Amino acid sequence: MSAQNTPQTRTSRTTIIIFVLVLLFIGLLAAGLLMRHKGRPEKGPAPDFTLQLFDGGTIRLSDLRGKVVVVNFWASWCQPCKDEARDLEEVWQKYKDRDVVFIGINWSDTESKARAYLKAYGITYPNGPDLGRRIGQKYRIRGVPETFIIDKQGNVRAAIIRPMSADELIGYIEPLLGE
Amino acid sequence: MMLLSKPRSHRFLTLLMLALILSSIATPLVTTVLAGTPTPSEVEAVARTLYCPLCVGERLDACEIPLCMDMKKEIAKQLAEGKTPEEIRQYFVAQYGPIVLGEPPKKGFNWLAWIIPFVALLGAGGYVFLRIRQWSRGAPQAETVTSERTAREEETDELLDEYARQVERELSQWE
Repeated sequence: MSAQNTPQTRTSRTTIIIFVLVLLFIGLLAAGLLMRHKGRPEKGPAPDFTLQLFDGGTIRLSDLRGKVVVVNFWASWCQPCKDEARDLEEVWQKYKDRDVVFIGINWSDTESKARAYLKAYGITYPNGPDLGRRIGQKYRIRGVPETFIIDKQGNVRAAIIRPMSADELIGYIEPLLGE
Repeated sequence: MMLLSKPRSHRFLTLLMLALILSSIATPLVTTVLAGTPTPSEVEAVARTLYCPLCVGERLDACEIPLCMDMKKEIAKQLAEGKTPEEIRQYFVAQYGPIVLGEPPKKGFNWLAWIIPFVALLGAGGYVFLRIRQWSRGAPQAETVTSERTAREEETDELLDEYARQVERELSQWE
């Protein structure tokens, strides 16, 4: 029997193969975890999306170049969202005739509750459900409210992970209007 | 027992007949109305097949957060509208993504979650197969060893017998 076919050689070859496979698996696992924890976009190009609005129309982010865009993720069951709802509408009313667009994205909610919420808080800017939570995944949101401020060139300039006051929001919008 | 007078018994029988006729009309109507209202167990049966989109691995029927409560109301509403459980499940998948089915979406890194169990099964099966083959190959060797040992023992026995015969022969010379 040649040395290459001895049981010891076969065992060591199997061990090496198993070891390589385990290493490969750990590598893939690590890569996946790193990708998953890449985090939300806080600067650079804003992920594009098309939103079907509750009123029947659609809105696409990439069509809004040249405008400052405020993207707000919210849900009717979210108390902090309620806290900022009137402030968002107030700022929208203040800037809607300038180069500013507000987009409300209803995340993980039921349509009837979402519609009732919009009515209750008198929200008039474009709003729609995040169907399949695809937009939320693109922006890697972990909860609501989360607001992204996008400049006229389509870059994310701020990601705010808490409810905002009207003054705070104006503080983000004003400098971008002058650019 | 007090007997009813003729006009009163006649009125009683008329009322009884009327009640019977009304009940025979009303029963199908009530049944029809009730058929459109799903029972809590019907709602639970659908909820058991879905998962909370916000919690980690929590089934909808056991979930008490506001969104889950709203989702259960939506299930009841859609059942009342005559939707099938499968149609309701597809509605929730469209709303919240495949996370509501309690399984990872089949894309990107998530494919590992689908592939690994099968790879592990194949690996384990292959290992068991190899071990069994190794053992089955090892068995004749053991048999040979056993037969070698038996032959040695027989040889020893023969030698001992020969020795015993020689001792007997020599003893007989002395007698």
